[in-house]
Amino acid sequence: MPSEAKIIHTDQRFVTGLLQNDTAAVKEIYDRFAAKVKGYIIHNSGSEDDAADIFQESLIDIYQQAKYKALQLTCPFEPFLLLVCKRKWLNELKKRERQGVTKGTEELSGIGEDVFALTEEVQLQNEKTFLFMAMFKQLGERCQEIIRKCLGKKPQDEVAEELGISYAYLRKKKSECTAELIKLVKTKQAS
Amino acid sequence: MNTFDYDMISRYLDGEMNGEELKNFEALLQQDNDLQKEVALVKELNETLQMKLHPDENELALADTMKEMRGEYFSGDTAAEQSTAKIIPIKRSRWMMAAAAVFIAVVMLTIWSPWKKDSLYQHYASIEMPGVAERGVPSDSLLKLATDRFNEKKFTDALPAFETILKGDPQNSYVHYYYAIALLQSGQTERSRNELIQLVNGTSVFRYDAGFYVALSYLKEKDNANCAVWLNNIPADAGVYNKAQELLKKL
Repeated sequence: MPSEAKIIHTDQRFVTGLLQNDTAAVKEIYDRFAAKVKGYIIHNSGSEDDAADIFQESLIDIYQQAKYKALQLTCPFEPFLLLVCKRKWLNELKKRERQGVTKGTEELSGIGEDVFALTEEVQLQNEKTFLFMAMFKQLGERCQEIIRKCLGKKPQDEVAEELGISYAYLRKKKSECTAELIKLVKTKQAS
Repeated sequence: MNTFDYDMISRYLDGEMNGEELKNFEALLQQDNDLQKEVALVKELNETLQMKLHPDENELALADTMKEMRGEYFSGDTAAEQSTAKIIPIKRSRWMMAAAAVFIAVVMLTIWSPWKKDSLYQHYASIEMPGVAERGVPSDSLLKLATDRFNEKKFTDALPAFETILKGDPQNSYVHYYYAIALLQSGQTERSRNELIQLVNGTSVFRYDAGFYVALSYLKEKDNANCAVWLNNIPADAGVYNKAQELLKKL
């Protein structure tokens, strides 16, 4: 991303609200935007349950993007959230192989380049996360356990004790498992 | 495909490198574009997995908040479902009610399981020891023997091997823990409890898991009251806490 100064939109407060689990802010998000997402998804062969899931998952995506990738809103929150939800729903439809012509896909008013750019980032992150998790699950159980525990909050020497192995051996296994995982990821990316 | 030293990369990213080694690695990193990319990939992979496997507390809290709002903003059934519900003919609905009754009866029987006496105890007490080959402890044939017997559920046969190891290495909390479980599983409840309580009073990472097994030892004797007392003693930050709470609810 270019490092030029960005003007943060005042709607960044919604993102902050999600980060802090500020109930009033979350409620405002539901009040203002839930109905629109619901309308779109039901209109496009989804159920109300689907809409609730997509809405919730999209907000978690935005939370994670803000928490781990320092998302800063340079556009209004509404078109951004709606586009994230729509892309997510289209993806879901593709998975269910019911991809048809969707109605009213891009009929958003006042949609700017920033909205697309930010949505793109969220989507890219989602795809990466999906790939990494899928490859992680292909590892042997023992490797999964070692990586999971090593990424947790416990000090590594305690993890070693819990697994009944020496600290040095844990380090060795961890790098072996990481190498295997990287190989899986690269092979998949190349295919 | 280039091969990289993932041990070095891991130690660099985990901040376990220092002095000369760190300097050398950073110098290497400066010159080597491929290595830079590889380090960035490992870092991103670690961060992503951490985010998914260990969501932070705020994210869990946010998910809870949203779960509460879900019902208020989304009704959970579609208009289409509501309209079909009205036109189910009576005959079909009777048939469905009968099917539902059978289904409920089967579910109830499965939960109640009158043919499985100790099921709750067995469900929670069963555990496997990590394989010796996986642990990479060289020439530890005695521990291998104990582990094999333990995982074959021949607990009585595993005991002598455990005892010999502990004689030579009484502070080995790992062996101590599985020894106590083997005692419990082979029916020596009282002795098992003594060993477990020693672990609970110690400082090893097994202290809370040992407490959980003390609770199970009471469950085995159908002493639900004492079982609950021990379960309640397990603090919320212990790894076994969720399991303990789950069992408490089932008691």
